Amino acid sequence: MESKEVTLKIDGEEVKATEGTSILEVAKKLGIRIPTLCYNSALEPFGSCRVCSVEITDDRGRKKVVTSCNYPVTEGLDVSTKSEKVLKTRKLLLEFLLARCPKVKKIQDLAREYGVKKPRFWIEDAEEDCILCGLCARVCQERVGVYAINFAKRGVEREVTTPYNSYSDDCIGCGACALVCPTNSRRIRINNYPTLPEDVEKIEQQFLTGRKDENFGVYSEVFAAKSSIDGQDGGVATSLLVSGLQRGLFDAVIVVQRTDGYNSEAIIAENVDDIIKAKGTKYLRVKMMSKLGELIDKGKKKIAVVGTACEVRAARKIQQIMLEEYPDVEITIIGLFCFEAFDYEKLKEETKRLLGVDLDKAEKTQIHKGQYIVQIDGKEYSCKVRDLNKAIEKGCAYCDDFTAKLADISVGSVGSPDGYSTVIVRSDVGKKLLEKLNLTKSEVNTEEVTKLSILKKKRANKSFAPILQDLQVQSESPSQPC
Amino acid sequence: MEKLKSPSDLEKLRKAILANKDPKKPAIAVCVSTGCEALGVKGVLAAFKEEFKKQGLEGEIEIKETGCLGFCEKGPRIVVYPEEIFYFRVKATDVPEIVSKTLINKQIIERLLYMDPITGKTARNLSEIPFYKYQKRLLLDSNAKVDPKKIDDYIALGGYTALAKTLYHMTPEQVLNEVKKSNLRGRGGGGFPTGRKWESTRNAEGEPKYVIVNCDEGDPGAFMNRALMEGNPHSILEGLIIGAYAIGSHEGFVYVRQEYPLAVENMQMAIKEAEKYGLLGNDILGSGFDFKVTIHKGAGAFVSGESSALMTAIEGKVGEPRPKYVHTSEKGVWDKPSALNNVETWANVPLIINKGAEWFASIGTKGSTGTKIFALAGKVNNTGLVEVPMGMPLRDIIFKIGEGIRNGKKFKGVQTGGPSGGVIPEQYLNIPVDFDELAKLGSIMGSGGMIVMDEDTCMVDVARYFVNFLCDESCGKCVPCREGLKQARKILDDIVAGKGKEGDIEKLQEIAEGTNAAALCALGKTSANPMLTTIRYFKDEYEAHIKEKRCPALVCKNLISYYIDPAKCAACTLCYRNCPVGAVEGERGKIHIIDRSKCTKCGTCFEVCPPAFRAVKKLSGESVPSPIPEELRWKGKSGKVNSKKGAAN
Repeated sequence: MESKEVTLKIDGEEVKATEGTSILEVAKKLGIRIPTLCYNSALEPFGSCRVCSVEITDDRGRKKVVTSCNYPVTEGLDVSTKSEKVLKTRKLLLEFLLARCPKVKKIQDLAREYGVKKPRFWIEDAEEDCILCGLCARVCQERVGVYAINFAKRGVEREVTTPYNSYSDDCIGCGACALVCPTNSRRIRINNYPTLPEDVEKIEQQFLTGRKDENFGVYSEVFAAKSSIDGQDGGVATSLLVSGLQRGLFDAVIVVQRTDGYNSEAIIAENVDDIIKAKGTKYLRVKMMSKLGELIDKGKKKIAVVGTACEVRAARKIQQIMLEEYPDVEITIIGLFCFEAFDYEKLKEETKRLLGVDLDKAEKTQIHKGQYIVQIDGKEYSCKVRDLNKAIEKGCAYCDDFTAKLADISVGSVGSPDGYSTVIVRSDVGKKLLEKLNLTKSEVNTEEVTKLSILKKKRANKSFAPILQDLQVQSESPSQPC
Repeated sequence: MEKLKSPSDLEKLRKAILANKDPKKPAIAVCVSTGCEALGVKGVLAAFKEEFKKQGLEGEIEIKETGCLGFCEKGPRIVVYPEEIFYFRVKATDVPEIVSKTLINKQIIERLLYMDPITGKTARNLSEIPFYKYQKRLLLDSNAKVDPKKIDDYIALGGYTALAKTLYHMTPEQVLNEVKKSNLRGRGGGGFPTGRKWESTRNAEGEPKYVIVNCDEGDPGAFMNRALMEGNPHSILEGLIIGAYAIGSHEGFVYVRQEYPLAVENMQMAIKEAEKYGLLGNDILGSGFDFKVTIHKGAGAFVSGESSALMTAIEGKVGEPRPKYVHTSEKGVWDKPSALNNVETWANVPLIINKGAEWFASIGTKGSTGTKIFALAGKVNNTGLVEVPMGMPLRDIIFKIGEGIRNGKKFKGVQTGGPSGGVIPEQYLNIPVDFDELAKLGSIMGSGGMIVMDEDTCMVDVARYFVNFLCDESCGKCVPCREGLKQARKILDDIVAGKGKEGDIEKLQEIAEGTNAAALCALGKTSANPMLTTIRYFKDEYEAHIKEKRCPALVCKNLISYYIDPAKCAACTLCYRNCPVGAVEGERGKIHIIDRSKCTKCGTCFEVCPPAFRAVKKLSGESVPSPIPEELRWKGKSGKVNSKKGAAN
C-alpha cells in the first residue's frame, strides 16, 4: 500500500504522520510519554494491558477510549493522551494490576504515578508477579520462533506456561522471554529455561571451576584428543559416556540416536551398546528435556546428558531447581560445539536439492571448515554450510554460545587436527570423568574456536538488537508525574 | 443425483418431488432434535417402526424425522398427517395406541394433546396453543416440515429458489441493495445492519473474500441457532451462498461448536447433498458462480462467538479476540475481507430475496425489521423457542406466549441478551422488543436469550451469576475484563455473603465503567451490563444486602435463616425426617425446632413442609425468635402416645 501522510492532533498539538502508524509511535516522536506494559516495537501490538489507552474524538464529535499501541492514525484524528477519562481509566487498570501483583515494583511505581494512594482492590494472598502481558510468549513466537511457551487456560485462570505444563522440549534457553518481561516474572520458571547473563554467572559459580575466558567460558584445560572409539572426530564424547557408565559414574545417559533414516530422537541409554549405537553427530535439534524429567521421576540419581548449548542451558536450569528438591541427584553434562542445528525435514530436502543425495542413507555427516559433508557408501558429498540457511532451526540465531559454556566438559571438532576432538574441561565433575580414560592428546588451535564463538555471539546480538532497543528506551525515560 | 444446471432444472426437480408426495397419505413427523432426543424420542421412533412392522404398515406410513419447533419442555413431540394433529410428551408405550387409534381409525387421543394448564382446554393444532398462537414463525415453521437430512424436503418447500433467482435475475449489487433495503440487522448480538457489513466486505481490498456462519451459540439457556442448524440447515446454506454472491466471495466457513453434534452432522450432510445437486461447488446451477463451504468445529470457548476471536480460531489459533481497530469485514480471516453473520441472519436472507425487502421491512418495527427468535426460559409457564415479530412488547412474550409466571408468583425481571445483556424490571414490560429499545434500557437483544425471573430471584445473586460466568468464559487477554471481573466477582461474593461494605455499589459501577471503556472486545465491554442494570433497577436490593444484611428475595444463604413457626407446626416429622444433616429436632406430636448450629440452609425443610401448614419460614434481616420452651412443645393430649410411635419409627 502507498504511504499517505495525514495530519492529526495529539494533546492539541498538530502533527504529520504516515497513515496507519500507531498513535503511540507518533506520540513518542512528539516526546509525549504514554505508559505501556505489553508493548515492544519489535513485536506485533497485543493490546492486553490497556494502560496505553488514550481518548480519541471522531469527526462527529464522539469520544472513544482506544489503545494507542495499535490504533492507526487517520486524517483529522484528535487524540488526548491526558484527558480526565484517560487518567481515570489508566488508574483503574493499574489498581487492578496492583491487586494482582502487589509486590511488583514496576506496577507500584506506575500506580503511584497515576495517583493510587491506598489500594482499593486486592486478592487474598496475592503472590503473583506475572501481569499476563504476553510479551514473553510473543517474543518466543514472533522473534525467536520456537513457540516454547504460550497462554494456557482462560478467564481468571489464564497463565503462561509450556504445553501441558511439562518440561519444555522446545525452549532453547535464549532468555528473550525473561528479557522482555516487564515484571521480572519469567526469570525463574521450572518448565522453561531462560538463561540471562546473571543466570550464567550463577551456574558458573555453582558448578564450574577454572579461569574464565569470554569466548571459551570457564575452563581448566583445553586439549585435542582421540579415543579408541571410532566416533565423530576423536570419538571423545562417546568414550566419556562409555567410561562413565562402566565406572558407575552414571546409571543412565541421555543420548541422541538415529531412529528412522537420519531423523533422530533423544533416548535413554543404560548400557554400553545403546551408547555406541548413538555415536556420530546428528546436526539436528531433538526433544530432550522431557527425557531428563522422566529419568528424575524414575528415581535415577546419576544422570548424564549430552547436548548442544541450548540443551546444556536447559539441563543446568533444571538441575539448579532440582537440587533444592532432590539434593542427591547428580547430573553430568557433556556439551557439544554447535553453531546452529537443522530441521530434519528441511535438511533432507536441502541435501537432496544441493547434493542430490538422500540424507537418510548417510553413514556420517560432518560440518568442517565451512563445509557440510555427507558420506554415503564411503563417498563424500559436500557443499557450503551457509547454503543450508533454509534448513536452520528457529531460534539458533538467538543463541550466543558456540562451545556449550555451561557444560562439565565440552567437545567439538573445531580447532583440532583431523581425527581429533577438541575437549574443554570446565568442572571437577568433568575432570573426574576424564580420569582413567585412555586418550591420545594433541594441540588445539584456539583461534579457530574463538573465531566461531565471536561470530555466533555477533549473530545473537544482531537478533536481539530490535527487542532490546525498546527496553533501553523504557528504562531511560524518566518517570514523569502526571 | 444429477447436477442441476439451471433454475428450470431445479423447478423440474421440485415438481418431481411433489408429484411423488401424496398429501392425503397418512404420515407421522417426529421431532428428533436434541431437546426431544433428551426426552427419549429415539425410543418413540423405534416403537413406531416396531409397531408398523407388527401391523404390516411398513412403507404405508411415512415416518419423517424433523427439527425442533421450540416447545421442548413438552417433548417428545410428534405430528400425525394429513390431519396435522400434534401430540406432546409422547412415550414409547403410547405408540401402539397412536397407531391403532389415530393412524388407522382416525380417532384423537385426548390425553396426548396439548392441554392448557390454566383453562384445561386441549388443542389439536398449533394455532390453538397460546405458546404458538402469538408467534410469527417465518424461520422456525419449516423445521417441522423438513427432514434436515433430506435436501428434497427443503426443495419441495421452494428451497433454493431464492438462490436461483439471485444467480439468474439479480446482479450482486441488486442483492446487496435488497438486503440493505430490508434493513436486516445482525441476529448475533450487536444488530449491525447486514447489508452494510456485506458492502464493506465487498468493497474492501484483498482476495479471497470469505463469508462465515457464526454458530458458536453460548449464552446460558439459548438454543435458537442450534434449532435452526439442526432443523433446517439448507436455509442457512442458501442464505450463505446468496451472501457470497453479493459479496464476491467463493469460500465460506460454518463455525459450529462441537458441543452441537447433531448440528454438525446435519450441516455436513446438507453441504454434501447441496454439492451433489450442484447447488454448491463450481458453476452453481449452471450460472458460472463458484462457492465452497468448510465446517469448522469450535473447541468450546464462549468467547469464540466474538467475531474476531472466531476468525482467529478458524485460522487454527486459540480463539481470542484481536486487538485490531480495522473491522473484520475488511480484514478478517487471514487478514482477508470476511463477512460474518449469525445463523439466524443468514437464514433470513432467502426469505428476503424471495418475498422482497418491502415485505420483510413491513414486519417488525422501523429500526428492527423481521422476526426474532428468543429462547424463553426461567420462571415462566411455557419455555422454549419463540419467534415473534420485532417490536412485540416484552409483556406479550412473557404473559401471552409464556402464559405468565410459574406457580402464581410475581414477575420481577427479565434478563435479555445473555451475559452481555441486562435485567429489565416490570415497569418496562410494555416496551416493544427491538434492538434500540432494549439498548435504551441498558440491555441488548443479543442472540435472543430471555430469562424470566420471579419474586424469589435475588438480583445481586443474578448479577453474581453472570459475572461468575464471564470470569470463566472471558479469554483473559485484557486487564479490564480479566482483572476487573475478578474484582467485581469478589465484591458481589462479599455482598451476598453479608460482608458488603458501604461504597461497594459505587466500586462496582466504577469497574463497570472502566471495563466498558477499556476492554479489548465487545464481550469485555458489555460484561458489566448485568451488574449495571441490576444496580440501576434494583439498587434497593443491593442496599438491603449491604446495609441491613438482608436478602429481600430470601435467596442468599448467608443472609437467611430457617425457622419453624410453632403456631403452625403440626409436628408431622416430615422436615425432621428429610433434613439431611439432622438439624431438625422433634417427634410426632412434639413441635419441631431447628438447631441453627447444624443447619446448612439447604432449604429441604422449607420444601417439604406441606402447603397446608407452611410452618417453615425463611427469615432475613430480622432476628430469629428463640425456640419455644420445651414444656410447651407437646401438642394436644395424645401427644405422648404419638411420641412413642414417633420414636418407634
